[in-house]
Amino acid sequence: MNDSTFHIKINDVEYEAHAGEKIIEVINQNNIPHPQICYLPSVDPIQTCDTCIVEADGELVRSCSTLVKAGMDIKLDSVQAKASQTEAMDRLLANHSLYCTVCDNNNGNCKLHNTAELMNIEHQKYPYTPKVDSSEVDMSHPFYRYDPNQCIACGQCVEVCQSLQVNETLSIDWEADRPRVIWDDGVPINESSCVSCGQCVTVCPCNALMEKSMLGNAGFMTGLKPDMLEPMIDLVKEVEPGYSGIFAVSEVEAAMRETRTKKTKTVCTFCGVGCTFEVWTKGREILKIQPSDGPVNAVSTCVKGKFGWDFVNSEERLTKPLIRKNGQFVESSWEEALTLVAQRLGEIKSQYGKDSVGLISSSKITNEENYLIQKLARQVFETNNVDNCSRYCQSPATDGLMRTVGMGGDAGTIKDIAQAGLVIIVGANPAEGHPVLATRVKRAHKLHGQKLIVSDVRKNEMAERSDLFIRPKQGTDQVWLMAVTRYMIQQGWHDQGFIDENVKFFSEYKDILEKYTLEYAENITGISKETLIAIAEMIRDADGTCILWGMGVTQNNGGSDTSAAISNLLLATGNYRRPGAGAYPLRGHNNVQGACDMGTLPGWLPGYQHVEDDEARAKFEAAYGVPIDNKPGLDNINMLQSISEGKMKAMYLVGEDMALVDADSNHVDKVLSELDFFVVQDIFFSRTAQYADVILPAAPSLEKDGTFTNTERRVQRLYQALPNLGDSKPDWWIVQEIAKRLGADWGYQHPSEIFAEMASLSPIFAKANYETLEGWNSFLWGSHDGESTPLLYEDGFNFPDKKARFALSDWVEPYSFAEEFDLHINNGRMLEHFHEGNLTNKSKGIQAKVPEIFVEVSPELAEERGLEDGALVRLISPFGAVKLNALVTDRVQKNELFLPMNSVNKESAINFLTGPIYDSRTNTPAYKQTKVRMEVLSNKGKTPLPKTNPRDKKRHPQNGVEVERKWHRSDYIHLTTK
Amino acid sequence: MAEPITHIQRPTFTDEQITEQKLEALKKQFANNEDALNKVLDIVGELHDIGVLEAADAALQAKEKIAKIVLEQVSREPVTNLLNTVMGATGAVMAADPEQMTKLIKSTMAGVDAGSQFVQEDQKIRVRDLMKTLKDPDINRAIGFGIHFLKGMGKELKESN
Repeated sequence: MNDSTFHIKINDVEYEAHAGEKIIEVINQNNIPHPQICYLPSVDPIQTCDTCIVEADGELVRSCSTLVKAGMDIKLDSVQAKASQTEAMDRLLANHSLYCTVCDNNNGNCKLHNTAELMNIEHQKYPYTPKVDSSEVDMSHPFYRYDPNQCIACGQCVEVCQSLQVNETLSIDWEADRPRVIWDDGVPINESSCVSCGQCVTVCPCNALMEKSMLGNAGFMTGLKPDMLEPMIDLVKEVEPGYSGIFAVSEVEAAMRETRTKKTKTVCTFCGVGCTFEVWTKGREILKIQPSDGPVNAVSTCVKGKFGWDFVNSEERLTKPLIRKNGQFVESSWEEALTLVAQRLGEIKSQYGKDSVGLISSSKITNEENYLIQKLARQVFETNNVDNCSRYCQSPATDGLMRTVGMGGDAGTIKDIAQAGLVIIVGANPAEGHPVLATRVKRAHKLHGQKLIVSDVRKNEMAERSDLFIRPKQGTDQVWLMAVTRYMIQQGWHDQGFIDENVKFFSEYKDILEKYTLEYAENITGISKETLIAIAEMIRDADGTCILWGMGVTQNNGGSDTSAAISNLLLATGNYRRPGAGAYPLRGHNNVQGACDMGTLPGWLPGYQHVEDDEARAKFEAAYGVPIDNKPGLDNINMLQSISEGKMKAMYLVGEDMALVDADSNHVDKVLSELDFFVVQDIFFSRTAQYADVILPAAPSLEKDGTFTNTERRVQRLYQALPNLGDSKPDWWIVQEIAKRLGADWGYQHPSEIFAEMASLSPIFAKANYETLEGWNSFLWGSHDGESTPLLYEDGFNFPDKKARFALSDWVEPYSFAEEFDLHINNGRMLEHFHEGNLTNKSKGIQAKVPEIFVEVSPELAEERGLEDGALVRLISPFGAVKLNALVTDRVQKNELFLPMNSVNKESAINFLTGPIYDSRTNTPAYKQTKVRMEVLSNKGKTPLPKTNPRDKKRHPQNGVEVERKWHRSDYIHLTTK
Repeated sequence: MAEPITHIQRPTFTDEQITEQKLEALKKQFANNEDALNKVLDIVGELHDIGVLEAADAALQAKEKIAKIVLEQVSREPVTNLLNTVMGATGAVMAADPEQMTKLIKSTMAGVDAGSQFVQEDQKIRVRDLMKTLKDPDINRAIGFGIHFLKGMGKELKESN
C-alpha cells in the first residue's frame, strides 16, 4: 500500500480509499446506500441539496465535496447526520408535489422518489406550496418542458448547462423569493440561447424537466385529462398516508411500466463521436433517449441524439423493394427483387468481366455490414472495386497519418483531448459537427485552464471561445503549420530527444521546411508573424498538444499533405506516445472509421491489411476460397470515370446519397443515368435512388444489432430496439441474400458471427468479440496483438522499425478560378441537421428551429451589394448554380460565403456548385475550394432563421450553479458544522 | 440510359381488396388457434347468458362518468376519513409485534371462554371472593397486564396530544 492508499471507517467498518477521492465516491464504490440528490459524477460537486451530509471525525460535512483523509471516521447515520439529511430532504420536498403514480417520471429511476423512500421519509415537514401560477409551466420548446412547481432547485441542470455542455443558458435565480431555474435572463425557453442538447432534462432528478415525448405517454394513468387527474392528485393528498404508502402504489405502477417500456442500448448515428444511450420505446413509439453510462458521453447528448429520431417512424420510409418498370417504380416482393439483382449483376460480371461491377458502402451502416459488402465484392464479384464515403471526407486524414505514424485513427480518446494543455482546431467546427466532443474542450477551457487555438475561415463557436483565432486564406493551413514547425525547430523548442528516439528523415524534413519562413507564411496565409510566434509559444508552453481537424483541411487539393503536416508538427514537438496529446481527425459519420476498418476500401482488406501484402491476401484467399487481386481497385471517383468510359456497367450502392454528396452533382446525375444496372439500398427514397433499377429497403440502426466504431477507434454494440418497419430488412441480411443467390451461402444467423469471422482474419481485432463488447463495454483497436488500446503508439509507431516518419511534402496551391468568380463559398454542417438532412428534416421540432436553408453573407459584402436578411440571391460557379435566401452575419467576413450542407434540393444544395477538383493523393473532392459569383434577385425578404433559433442569442455564463449565493440567503440555515 | 424517376407507383387497393386481405390474415389466425378460440367462444357465451356482458358493455361506455362518480364519492370527507382510519389502524397493526399479538389474542380467547363458563353457572361474586381471587396466579397475571396496559395507553395518549 503506498501513501495515496489508506483506510477509512464508514459506520465502523474499514474501507480502502485513495487520496483525492471524495467521501461519497468511497461510499458509492462500496455500494452503501446513501442519499445524494444533487451528486453528479460528470461535474464538480454542486452542493445545493445537503442530503449527502455525513458526520466525519465529529463534524457535519457534505460527503460530495469533502476529501477523504487517512483514518477518517465517518458516520452516515449518527443522530446529527440523520437529522441534517432529513431536514435537507424536507426542505427539498416543500418544492415538490408528490403524485408519483400519475407522474410520467415514475419509471423506477426517479432520484427524488427513490431517495425519499431510502430515507424512510413519511411526512412532509414543510407543506408543499406551488411557486408560481400553473400557467407559468414553460411548454414553449418543441422538445421539453419546465415545471417550476415541481422543481426542487437542486441545480444539476444548471451545472451541466454551464460546466459540461458549456452553453451557458441556464441559471438559478437564487435571490428570488422561491428560487427556480431561468433561461438566459428569464425568457421563454424557446426564445433563449438553448441549443436543445437535452442534458438538463437527462439529469433532472424529478419531473420538473421532462421530454415532451414522455408527457401523458409514459405511465398507465398519466394520460388522464386534467379534470380527472387533478381530483386524483387531491385525493392522494387528502388521504395522506405516509409517503411509504404512496411509494408502494407508485412502485406497483412503475413495475407495470417496466413490462411495457422497452429500454435498449444503442449507439448514436448523427456523428462520429460515438455517444451511447438507452432508447425507451413503447411499441414503435420512441418515448425518450436516456444517456447515463456511455464511455464517451456519460450523460451528454446533442439535439440530434436526444431528440432527432423521428425519421425512424417517418411515413416516407421505404418499406418494400421497388423495381423500375416502364418508367415507374413498382413495389415487389423480396424474392423478385433479390432474384433480379443477383441475376443482372451476375450476368454483367460474366459478360463484361470483373471490373464491370462496383460496390459503394456506407459510413452509416454497421461494421458487420461493411465487412459483408467487401466480402461480396472480393469473394463473389472478385473485384477490389469497393469504396465508402470516407472518400468524400476522411481519406486525406487517414493518408496523412498512415504516412507519418502508421495508423489511420485518433491517437487517443476524448479523455486525452480533455486533458491536453493545448487544443488546436484546424478547419473544423466541432461545436456543431461533433457537439459532445466539443463540450469536453469547452469544459476544459472554461474550468481547467486548457488553451485553445482555432484556425478557420469562419468564426464558429469554438473560434469565439478560443484564446487565439486565426483566419488564414482558404487552403493555406499547411503553410502556417510548416512555418510554426520551422520556427520552433529554429528556436530549439522542438523535442530533439523524442525525434532521435522515434522519428526518421529529420534532416530531409528540415530541408523541406527551409522555405517556410515566417515572412513567407505571412505572405501566403495572411497571418502575421507575431501571431505565428504566439502559436509556437503556446505549443512550447503546453503540457500536451492535441490537434483536431476536419473537412476544412481534408476537402482541399492538398488535404492529405496538410494532414501529414499536422502529424509532422506533433512529431517534431514530441506530442505522440503520451496522454493528452496527438492527432485527432474528427470523423464525421457514426461509422466512417468502422467502414474503413472493415476494408470497404479499394486497397485495404479488413483490419488495415493491404491487398499488396501477399501474406495477408493469402489468408483472405484461403478464407474466401477465391484469388484476390493484388492491385487496389477503383475508388468512388474512379468508378464514376469508369462508368463514363463505358467500362463499369453496374453498381451496387448502399446507404449513400451520391447524387447529392459527391462534388459536381450535375455531372454525377449524368453518369449514374449511364449505368446498365444500378441497385440502391437505403431507408429513404433518396435523390440517388431516382436513378436506380432496383431499390432495396434497408433498416436503420434502431432496427438491428451490430457494432459501430467511433472517431476514437472505439467499437461499441447497438441492440435492436424496434422491429423492422414494413418489409424493410437489415443491410447484412440483404447482402447475404444477394450473395446466396450468386452461389455463396454464408449462413450467418446473427451479426455476432460476422464480427467473429472478421476478428479471426484481422489481428488488430483479435481479442474483440460480442461478449467483451456487452452492454456499455467497448473495445479500441490499435495493437497487433489485438488488445484494446486507448492510447496508440505506446510501444512505438506502426512501422516494422517502430519509428515514425516525417512526411516530405510541400504545400499545394489551391485551385484557381477565373476572376469573375469573386466569392469563396464554404460549406459545412449545422448543429441541428445531419449531413444533407434527409434524416433530421423528418423531425418537426428540428424543422421548427431550422426550417430552411440559406447562405451566410458577411455584413461588408451585404453592404457592398445592397442586400439585407432574406434577400434572394443566385450563386453561380463554373459547374452549376443555386438560388436561395441570404442571412447576413459576421460569422463570415469579406468575400466569404457559407452554405450549410443540409439541403436535399437541387435549388440549394452545395454540390451543384462544387467541381471536379481533387486531393492529389486520395481523390477526395476539394469541396472547400469553390468560388462563385452572386446575383442579387431581390434585396430583402423574410429572415431565413427564425427568432426561436439559438444563434446570435446572448449567453449567460456563470461559474456553475453558484451555490454560495444560496448559502448567503438570509433564510438559509446551515446544516453543516464546518 | 436511366432517366431519374421521382415518383413511386404504390399499388392502390380498393376497400373490398383491403377487407379481403384482412379476412385472409384473420382466417389464418383462426385456423392456427382453433382450440383456444373455441374456448373463448364458450366463455363469451356463458357470460352473455348471465347478462355480464351487457353490464360490462354499459359500464365501459360510461367509464369516464363512472370514474368521476367514484372519484367524487371517495373524495368526500366521510370516505377519506374512513380511508384514513383504516390506513391508520392498518399501520398500527403493521407496527405491532406479531408474537405478542398472537399471545394476547389467544389469552383473550381463553378469558372469554372462562368468562362464559362463569356466566352460565349463575354465581355471584362477593368482595371477599374478589380479594381471594387476587391470590390466584392466573388472575393476578391478567390484572397485572391490565394495569400496565392502562399505563402504556395513558402514556401514548399524552404523547399524541
